[in-house]
Amino acid sequence: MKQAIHRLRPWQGWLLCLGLLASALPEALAVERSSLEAAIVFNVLQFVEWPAEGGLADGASLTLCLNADSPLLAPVKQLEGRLIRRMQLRVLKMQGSQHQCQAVYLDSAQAEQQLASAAAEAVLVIGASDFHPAAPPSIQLVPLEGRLAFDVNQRKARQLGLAISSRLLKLARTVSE
Amino acid sequence: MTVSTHQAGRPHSLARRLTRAALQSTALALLVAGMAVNVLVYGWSSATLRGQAELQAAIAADGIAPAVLFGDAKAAGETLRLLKASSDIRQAIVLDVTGHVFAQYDAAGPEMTVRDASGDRRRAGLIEVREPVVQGRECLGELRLLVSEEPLRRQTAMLLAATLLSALLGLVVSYARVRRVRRDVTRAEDELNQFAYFDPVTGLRNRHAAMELLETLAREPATRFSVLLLDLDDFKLINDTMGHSAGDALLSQLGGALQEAFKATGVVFRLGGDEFVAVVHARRSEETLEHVGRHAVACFNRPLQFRGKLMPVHASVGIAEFPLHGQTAQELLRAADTAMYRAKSSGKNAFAIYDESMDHENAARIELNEELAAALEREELVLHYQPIVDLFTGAMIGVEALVRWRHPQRGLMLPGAFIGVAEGSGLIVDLGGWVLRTAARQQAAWQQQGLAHLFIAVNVSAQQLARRTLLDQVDAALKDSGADPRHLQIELTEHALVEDIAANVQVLATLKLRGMKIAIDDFGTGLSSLAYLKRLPIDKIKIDRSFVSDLRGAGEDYAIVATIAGLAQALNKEIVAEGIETRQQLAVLKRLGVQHGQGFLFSKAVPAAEVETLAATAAMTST
Repeated sequence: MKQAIHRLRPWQGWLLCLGLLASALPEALAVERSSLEAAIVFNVLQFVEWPAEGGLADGASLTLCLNADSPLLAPVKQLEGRLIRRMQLRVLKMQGSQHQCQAVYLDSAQAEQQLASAAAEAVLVIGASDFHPAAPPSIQLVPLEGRLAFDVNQRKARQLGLAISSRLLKLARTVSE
Repeated sequence: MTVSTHQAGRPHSLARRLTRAALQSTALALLVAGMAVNVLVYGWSSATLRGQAELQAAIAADGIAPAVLFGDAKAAGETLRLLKASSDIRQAIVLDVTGHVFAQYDAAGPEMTVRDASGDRRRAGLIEVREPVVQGRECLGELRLLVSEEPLRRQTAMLLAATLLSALLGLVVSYARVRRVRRDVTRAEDELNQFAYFDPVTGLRNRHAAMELLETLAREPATRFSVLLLDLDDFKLINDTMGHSAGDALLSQLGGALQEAFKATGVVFRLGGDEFVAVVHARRSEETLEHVGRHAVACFNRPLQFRGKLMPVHASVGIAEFPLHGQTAQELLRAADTAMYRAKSSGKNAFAIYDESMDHENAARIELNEELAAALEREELVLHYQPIVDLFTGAMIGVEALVRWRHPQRGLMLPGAFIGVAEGSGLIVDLGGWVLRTAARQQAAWQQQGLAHLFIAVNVSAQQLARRTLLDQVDAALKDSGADPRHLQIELTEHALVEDIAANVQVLATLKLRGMKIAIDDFGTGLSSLAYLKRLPIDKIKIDRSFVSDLRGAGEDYAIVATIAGLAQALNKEIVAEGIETRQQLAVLKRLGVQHGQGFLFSKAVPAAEVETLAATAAMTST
């Protein structure tokens, strides 16, 4: 069992390689981390249910908003159009149109400010692994033992009317009520 | 081969086969039913186990999907560990889409080798179930469960053991029941065997057993044995006068005595009636068949102690030897039978050893019989008449009709030469009828000639009585001739009379109603029972010539004749002495009060014409 746990998956191997090359290639490392984080964000979205979701037609979009200069923008854009349950992923830059966002990825104070200015409801906020927003987000990515984990603020999510799947909760590092 | 061990090899074969068949079919039924149940239960359980494994795999795959999605191997491992609740699951492996192991769980317990070859897994008693790990529409990998069949196999083994044990128990119970039935069947078989092979009267083996033994023995040309056919002399008389139950008791006693006598040398069978067969196999080399014959006859030398009386029983014994006198059971018995008849005709209580000349004699007898039948047709027979006279007056009072055969080649033949043959063939009935007819005609003729006072006594055979033809023959003769029945008399021997006394009483009474008289012939030579003398409607007693021939003023014969004469007077019967040849005999008979007589002293049997001449003389001889 332990063997299995310690056996690295390919992308973990890559990560290790990249880690070893970190000093020499900090830029490359950052790019790799972004795409990993993008994948996690996409996966998280699969386990969150929005209050109005039941009334959505097939092919409705699930909009993920990011800061315009977010390093995650590029990898997330690659995922655009993929299905999350019955919804298609749409990626938007936060430029005053935050009311359309169902999920927001926060990786800078600037982005947090933009979000705060919008009177958004039922928006799932995901905090980047290297940024801790002032207002605690529903989901906070955290680096853990060389990989990415996440904390879930369940109370916050409930307040917003978001339903986070227990299956996701099970995988969370911490869940705060 | 020994005779006495015969039949030892056949006891209760049916019972044994029945037991075996019952047990085999029970065992087979239990085995088939048990196996069917076991196979079915194993199949069902196996299917159930696989179904459960598939369900568990589906649940686990679903539960593990997020962990795989997030690459959280630790969480995936924790999810897999939940499978330990199911002891059947030996291993669970999650492979990612690239086929690498993402998470793995191994149940505690003996090391397992998991190889790809499914055959090995089957041998290791493992079922493998594969379930894709899916999140949304994305396939993330595969969950493989290895489920142990070991508990299932253990259960099946226990079920099998329980089945076998209960089957064994069932067999034991069934055997106990079958044994009871087997006892009954054995008893029934014994009884059947007893019926089939044993004679109920004597307890000896019967004809069937005798034939079987002879056939078995005759199949071995190297064996030497002899067949003794023993026929009791005059046993019918005993049966008829003492009753059948007495006859049976006597046969039983006799059977025991014979068995004892041949215990060491052979086996005794009762063929039926008064016939016994001894198959003698052990004969010392110096012993001849004569020794064996004498030994057999000696059994009858001493009278039997029967119901407090000494009862003389004699037998005639015919002996045939294998393979000299016959090669088959039938041939041997026929040869012994021929020899036995020879012994009987030679004077009873004797034995005879078969030889081929006996068959020639038989052939001669058959030829003579055929000639006699033709002679009856061609009127070659003739009656002669021996006068019967009043011993005191010398006057002829009647005649006894005696048959003669004017044989074209052999000349005039006396009855002794052909009556035996006629009796053997049954021709005696027709011959007797002819004698009756002819005598009646003669009597009618004498009536015409003024000799109406002469009666004619006609000998009647036992067979005429036994076949119920006598009455018809008498009536036909009277009607045909117009003779006076009062001057016709019937002479019967003691043997003929006692065959069937009740029926004979009826016949004789009817004859007497016609006006005829009945005489007992050869009195004293047969049973001489006083009982039937009283029962039967008899008018006359004829003293046998054997008592007369040596008759003197004293001695045994004198005593016998005196007794018979006294008896006749006491019972008010007429009395006739036969075979009177001398004046001395005549004198003694007269002294004893014997009224009538016949013999050469007066006249031999003569043709009818001479009788007429004799009748003209006043007296047959001077008194």
